[in-house]
Amino acid sequence: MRTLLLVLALALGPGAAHAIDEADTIEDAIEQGYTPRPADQPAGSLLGGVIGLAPGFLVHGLGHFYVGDRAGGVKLLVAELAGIALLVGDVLIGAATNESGAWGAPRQVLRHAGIVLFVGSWAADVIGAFKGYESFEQDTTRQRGGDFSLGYRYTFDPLTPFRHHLVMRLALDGGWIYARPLVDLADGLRRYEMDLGTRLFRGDDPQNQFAVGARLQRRELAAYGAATRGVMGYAAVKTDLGQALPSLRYLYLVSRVGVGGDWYSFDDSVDSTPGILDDAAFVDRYLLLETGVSLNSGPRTRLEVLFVQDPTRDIPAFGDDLGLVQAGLTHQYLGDLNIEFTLTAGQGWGVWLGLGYGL
Amino acid sequence: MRRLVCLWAVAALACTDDTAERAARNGAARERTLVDTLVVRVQGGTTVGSERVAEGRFRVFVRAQSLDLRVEIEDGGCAPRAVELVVTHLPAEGLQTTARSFLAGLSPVVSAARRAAGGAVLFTGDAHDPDWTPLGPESAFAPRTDGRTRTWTAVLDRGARSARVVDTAIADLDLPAPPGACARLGAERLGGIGQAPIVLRHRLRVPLEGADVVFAVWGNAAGRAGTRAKILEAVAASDARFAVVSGDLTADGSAAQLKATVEQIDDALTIPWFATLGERDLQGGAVDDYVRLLGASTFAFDAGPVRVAVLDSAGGGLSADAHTSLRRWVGDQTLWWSADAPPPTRVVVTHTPPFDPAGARGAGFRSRLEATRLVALLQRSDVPYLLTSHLPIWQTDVLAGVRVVHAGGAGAPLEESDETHFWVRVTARAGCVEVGEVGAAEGEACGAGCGGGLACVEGTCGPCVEVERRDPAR
Repeated sequence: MRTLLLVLALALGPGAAHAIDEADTIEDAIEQGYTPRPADQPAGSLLGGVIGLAPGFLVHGLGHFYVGDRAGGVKLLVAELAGIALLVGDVLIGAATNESGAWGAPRQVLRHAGIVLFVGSWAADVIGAFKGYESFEQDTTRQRGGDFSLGYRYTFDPLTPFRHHLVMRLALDGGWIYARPLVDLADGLRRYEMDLGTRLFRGDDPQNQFAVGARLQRRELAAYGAATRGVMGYAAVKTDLGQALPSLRYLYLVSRVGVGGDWYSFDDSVDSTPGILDDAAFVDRYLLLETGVSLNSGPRTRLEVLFVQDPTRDIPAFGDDLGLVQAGLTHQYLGDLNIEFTLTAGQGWGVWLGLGYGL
Repeated sequence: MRRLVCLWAVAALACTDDTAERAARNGAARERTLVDTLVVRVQGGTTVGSERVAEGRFRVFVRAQSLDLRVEIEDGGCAPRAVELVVTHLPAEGLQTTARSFLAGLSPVVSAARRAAGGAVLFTGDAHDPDWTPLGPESAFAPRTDGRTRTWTAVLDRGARSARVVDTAIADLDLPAPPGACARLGAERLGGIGQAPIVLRHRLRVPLEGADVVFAVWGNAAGRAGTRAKILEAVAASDARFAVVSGDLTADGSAAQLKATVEQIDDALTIPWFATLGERDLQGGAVDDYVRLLGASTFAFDAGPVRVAVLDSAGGGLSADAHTSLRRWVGDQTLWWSADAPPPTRVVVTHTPPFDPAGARGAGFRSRLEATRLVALLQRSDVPYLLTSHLPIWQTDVLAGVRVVHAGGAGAPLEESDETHFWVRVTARAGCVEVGEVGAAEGEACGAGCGGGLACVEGTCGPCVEVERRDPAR
């Protein structure tokens, strides 16, 4: 099969006519200056992708095995088994501790990591086997400067009245430190957020980074006569998966883990909200887990898909607190102008459409 | 297991919540249309089945879910018809049964007189439905009794403007022959009211005014029949007037297990008992059969000084219908047709708590926004207690003045391994003073009267509602 594809490539490539005329074998073509694909960098394969998709859902890595990347296939299989082990571990701990609250956070982490490893290794197999060793576009998102976004957001949750939102976001990035204020205004719900962080580590590729930060948030729920104020500390990482699996070069893993608390206040009537300094009635603690991938699908287009477990979101999670799926697309349209689109799905769903401008 | 199943469906966005579907089933079960012009409505219970016995004769099965059951039969047809009502899970003793018939309309004379009086004087009409014409006073009737089941036959004859309860079983009943062609019945003679349907209202209640009301609550038995047997024995020996099971009756949600659970409870208790669902009960076929065995999974009823609202939160939240109903139930409205004032206090029972005290475990409502909505409503309505049973612990958290009791100790393994299983005894005090009234504070002598949210208990002001943990004997 590969020989046939090579012959076809030679037939269609520049100078192929001359090469075919003069080279009877691949060795002859190499002598004449043709540089074949290295043996340890197999080409992509549609059939490989299909194998990764279907029987590969049960045995991750089959697609990579098919295209000849045995090392990659083994890594993906190990990742799948690790994911299953983590999920089983979550269930076993739950049974052994009678669903104890003290184990709630560790079990959430196991579950999240297990889902990410299982789904991620399967997706990586499909993508890598189909695409081969050709890398994605390098992410050139700038690490310095500012960006202002204004957008419209629509959310649907049948149990809440919040539908139409006006969202304003600012991203101020100083390389090592950043600040990202956000205002989300809807009828009966206002959200004010400030995300402050510092990048403790940045690699040669500046997209490889580790950051820590804090998110301050206030939500005014006039529709319920309630308000929350909260703080969450988090650690975030972004890293090129190509470092582990060459077929995924410039496909970035993004992940964030946070621990937070929201202080709830209530008023005696709806259509009013308690003041920011009013006494809190109680505090609710939560864990935030976010993992996904980011890639440049084109020179000026970035795609990000995240699996999000953030209980402070205004869209309820799938099933039994399984989280949300969020897909975002940013396209640099003209110079510093971005078009931004994000779709979030859980029990409800939300769509964000915005324009960003680089400052 | 459910999480793993949902994982498979996440990518296809196929893992949807069936809370709305159960709400639709609950709503559909409150009203049963036997034929186009013959409808049975129930409050404080649920219709769980019906059958056509013969031409113009029907049998309707009702599962009581309160100590104040109301059944309304509306007949807009013209031929005489009979409906036999079979009601289960009523108290064995102390039941008052009354019925009253109406025409669901006013005569032109009365309507005109009202308009002329400008609403200053109310002519005729029923106190609860002023646009109806009573055909007689509320009268007692004696249903046939078999333990906790009551059976009686209602005969409605709109042409003769007659609706009454009879002693005869429906199979033995002689119905009058229908009057010829079923045209506008006496329109010339009766005016517009001739078109009004005839309505027969029944009320089966245990009068609880002026007395403390004690009831039992338990949940999270998770199919453990042995532990449940001990709890049932303890509840049966207590002074509880009724019991509420707050979810997770089964371990795996199978229809067989739900049926076995219902039979076990029916055999053990002589007092009425009512139930809602937990997440375990949704996992199998029980979710398709629960209405027939338990009744609606969201309902409310008045019991003396307390209104008990039972909510289905098995899916990790409430339905939109439940939120709407709850707003009415915790307010000042009467539940249905009633001349009684609403009780002064409320207790809400559900399976899943709005917020998990352990936070990161996420065992509360799936949506924090929805949880906030619920707590805000309960706080504004001064509801003193929200009883839950999802968490296998005994713990009370105070959220904005609402005491959320986590009491999932009826069978599933408890978080603390050295704990014993338990049920909850709830006492609603008679003479409870409405919140907002000024009076003596808690702990003070009653004197001229206790303050809002308090009741006089043996000379001292105490809370209107008391919740106690009870451990059955090992």
